[in-house]
Amino acid sequence: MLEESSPTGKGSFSTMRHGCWATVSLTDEHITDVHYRFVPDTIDASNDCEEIFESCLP
Amino acid sequence: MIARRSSSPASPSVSIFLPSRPVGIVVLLADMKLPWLMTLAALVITLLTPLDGSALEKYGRPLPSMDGDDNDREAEETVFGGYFLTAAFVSNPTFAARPDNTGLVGLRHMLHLETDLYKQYLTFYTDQNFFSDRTNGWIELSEWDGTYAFTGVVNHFGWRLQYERDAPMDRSGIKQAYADTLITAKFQAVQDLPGWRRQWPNQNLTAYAGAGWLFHNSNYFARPDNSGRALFRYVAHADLDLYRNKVVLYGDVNFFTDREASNQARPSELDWIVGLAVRWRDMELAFYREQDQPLDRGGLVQKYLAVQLRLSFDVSKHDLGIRTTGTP
Repeated sequence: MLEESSPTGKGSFSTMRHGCWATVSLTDEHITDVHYRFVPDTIDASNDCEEIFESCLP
Repeated sequence: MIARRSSSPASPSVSIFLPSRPVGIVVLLADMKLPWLMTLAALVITLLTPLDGSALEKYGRPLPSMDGDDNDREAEETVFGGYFLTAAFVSNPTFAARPDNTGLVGLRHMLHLETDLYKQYLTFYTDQNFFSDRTNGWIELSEWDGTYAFTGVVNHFGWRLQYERDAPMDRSGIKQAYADTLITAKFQAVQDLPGWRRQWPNQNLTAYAGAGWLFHNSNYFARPDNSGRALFRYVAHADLDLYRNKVVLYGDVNFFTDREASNQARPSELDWIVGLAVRWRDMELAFYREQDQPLDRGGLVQKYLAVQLRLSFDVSKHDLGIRTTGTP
């Protein structure tokens, strides 16, 4: 929401709400694939995709 | 954290992510803020799914509505979202605290709420802005600006239909109101410029520009000194993402024209803002400068420097306990 609506003057301006689904494929308890899907697909939501796993980093 | 196992076969939208011979999927609906959740998810799959392969789906945040009938996804779609902000005008020589240009703003508080009515094509939002007067003790509210709007996005173009009413709170005085339409075109470097991501993987540039028509105007002035009446507006905005949407430099310009002027298309006022925002999770700290100045004659220039804290939120169907119908 912080990047989708910005306060301007005495109001705000809203842009497209968006997000990302990450599909993680597991085989024998090992991650074998990660696939990102932007929602809606007309906007690049790469930063949201990366953010999903940001807190998993050591 | 809620972990659910779907008893239905893998939907076509996710089956391509599954290994061979999939017979089920596990969908994890959780706020993945802790690394042990990944381990727990793997454990859930191991215990509940006698498969040699499975898939997890994870959302980064409550999402706008999307196609498909997956109930778990639908439960995490946003019902409404918004943010609350409070700002201190640390330097304010001239920015007025009421529509009649009396006082000087000390604090600003704002609530923004929005909800998608039909995907990204039709959204309703409202802003409730409150200002205090630093010449009257900083705390007591002096002005209330209410905005109500429908907006939407189609490909690279946005539209808006908005009503705004600005009124004094602590005394009687001038009320300003208008209704406008606005059309904008949007640019996103990471998407619209081939090679941008390769060159700058952690940076982005988004911008929009457009024009609007104030088709209803009740005392909404065309200059900061409260002269004239606004007719058209021209807007432009840019966000330069300096590092992974954590540090953002932004600028905004807003021109108004005067319907009482000989040339109704010529700008009579320029409002500009430049700011630097630092984001962490659902919070943003911003420092910004705004200046509202006349363009076609001399007169009052309103300006200030502010520090602002924004806290965003999303409320999903799941948060409200709304059950989705369909396959259990």
